[in-house]
Amino acid sequence: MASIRLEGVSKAFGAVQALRPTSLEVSDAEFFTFLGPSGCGKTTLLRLVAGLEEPTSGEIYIGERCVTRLKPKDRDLAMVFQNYALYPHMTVRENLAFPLEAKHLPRGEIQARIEEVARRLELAGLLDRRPRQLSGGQQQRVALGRAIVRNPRAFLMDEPLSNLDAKLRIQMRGELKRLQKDLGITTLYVTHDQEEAMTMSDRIAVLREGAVQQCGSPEEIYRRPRNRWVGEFVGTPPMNVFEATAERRGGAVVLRAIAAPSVRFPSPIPEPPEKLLVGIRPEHILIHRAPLPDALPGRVHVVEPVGDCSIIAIRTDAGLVNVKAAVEELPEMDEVVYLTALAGKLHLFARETGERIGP
Amino acid sequence: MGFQDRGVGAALVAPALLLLAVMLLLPQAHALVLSLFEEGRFVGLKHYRALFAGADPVRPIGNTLAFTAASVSTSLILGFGIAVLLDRRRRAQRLVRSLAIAPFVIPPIVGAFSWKMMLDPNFGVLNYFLTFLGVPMGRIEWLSDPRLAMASVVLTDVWMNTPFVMLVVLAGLQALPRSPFEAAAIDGASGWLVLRRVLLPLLAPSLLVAAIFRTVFALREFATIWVMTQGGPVNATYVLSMDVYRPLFLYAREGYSAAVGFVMLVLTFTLTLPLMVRLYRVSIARA
Repeated sequence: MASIRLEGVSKAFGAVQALRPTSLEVSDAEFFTFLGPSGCGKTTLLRLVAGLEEPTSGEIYIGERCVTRLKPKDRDLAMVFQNYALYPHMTVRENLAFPLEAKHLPRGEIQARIEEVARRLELAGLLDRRPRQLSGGQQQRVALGRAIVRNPRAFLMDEPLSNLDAKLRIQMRGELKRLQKDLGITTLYVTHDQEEAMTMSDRIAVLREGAVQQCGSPEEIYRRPRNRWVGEFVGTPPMNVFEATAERRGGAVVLRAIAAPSVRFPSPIPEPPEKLLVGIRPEHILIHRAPLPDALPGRVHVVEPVGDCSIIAIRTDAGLVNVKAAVEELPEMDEVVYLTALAGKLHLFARETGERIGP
Repeated sequence: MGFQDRGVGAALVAPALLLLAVMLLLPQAHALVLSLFEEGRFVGLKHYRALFAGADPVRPIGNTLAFTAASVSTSLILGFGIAVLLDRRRRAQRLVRSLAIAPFVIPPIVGAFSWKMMLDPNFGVLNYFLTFLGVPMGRIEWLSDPRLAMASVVLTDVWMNTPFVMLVVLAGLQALPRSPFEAAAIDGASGWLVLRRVLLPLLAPSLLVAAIFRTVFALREFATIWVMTQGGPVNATYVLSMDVYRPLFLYAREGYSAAVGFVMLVLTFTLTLPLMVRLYRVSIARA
């Protein structure tokens, strides 16, 4: 068990800058997730920590020890791969025993540890099978077992759930989180699935094009996205963003959508720049059947009921607006509706840079 | 598959099987019959007895087995080693692959003749270089010393056939997934453990294919050895294929030659069958 610290770590593959200089610290026993779209550098980051890639610059510390120039085998980490990377020619038992044999543990202890892990992950009945005789979920558990059997200083997990079907994925999500807390082992987790990141992590680093956009608790990232991109990437359906102007009206400052000037919001901050971007999450928009002053009229494009709530896309002068609402009576397609935003739930971003403005 | 479909399937492969039977089984059967006769008289197992327990100190079976074992094992180890070194070194790979293929492409007779000249005790290049180590020129009789001749022909055969092993193994290596090796590296495995427990088992199909081919070819090797030593000195490199050739073409003892040929066939099957069974099992296990 150990903290993990990156100091200015970067990686270039030829002319391609896969990871820009990145510094961050993951504390002991923390569940820390790298979240981002494919090609954002999250897997590269994990492989750098594992020692499978050598950083172009910077230092990596595990605990107090600088491991930048250590081989993977000397870092005492365990990794779960996206495709599980089980040894296809070995039985489950042999797969679990392999990292312990590499450590030259006595036979008795190897047996004891395998049994312990098999019990914890419900692998006892599968020990003499080979990977190809297992389902995806079972293979996944073996891969997990091979990681925990060693009692490593930290776990590295590269999209370990992405090859499972949706139901199993959600089940494993919970089990993995519980397991990590029970074992108390520092975990670096890589995923492109923001829901996975939000539900499992203590903290998340959101990556884009090799650079960390924001690092914080799931709640922080959701409630206070540091820029427009994070706001739109985290959350389904994505945040609605409009271009707007700020103007004084009487004593108050109001924001007016450029594409739909009739829509006005009271500004959450006293002195916004004249031109800016306004972001509203789909669940913070209310749908009205009757016209209201300052409301944005629109025509229902599509309604997607998802059980407890519905996702409704509405065509407006300000573009397609996504609304997530628990509406009792769903609007019909092409019905005209009126939208207002919940007060105090606006996100303001600078128009040029997309950076967050205000609290 | 229904019975009817099966009938159709059998009918479709029947012509090919028939052709195979005519081309393969009939000549073998003929050779088997031939091997029991001498000058038109039935002599039973006489030729076989002569081959296995003849008064002649010639040991073509022993020589063939020794040659095969030495050549196949050495070329497998070397070919495997070179392939592993080349794997992941793309640029070196292109160069070495085109260079290393040369011995494999050169006609065996040409290659063997070149080696014969290089190994010549008096004007060969090998002994020339050995003079720098203080060995007087002409001292080492590579091909005419009975203790060295077998090693010399094995050396030549290894030189010619290592590229084949290398190419097969390299292709196998490149088809292997990287992730089990990365997993093993993170699992803390030493290079030796990875080689023994991960690389060799995963590469087993390629190694077995190379071993089967090499064994078949080494067992029937003729040209290389014939060009270099003609089976000498004192029959030190006299192998089974020569025991087919010489009695037949020099003394017209077709019965004896047929017997030797049949023994070669049995030997080839006996030696490669376990490898083929193993290959079949490995392939099934991976499928």
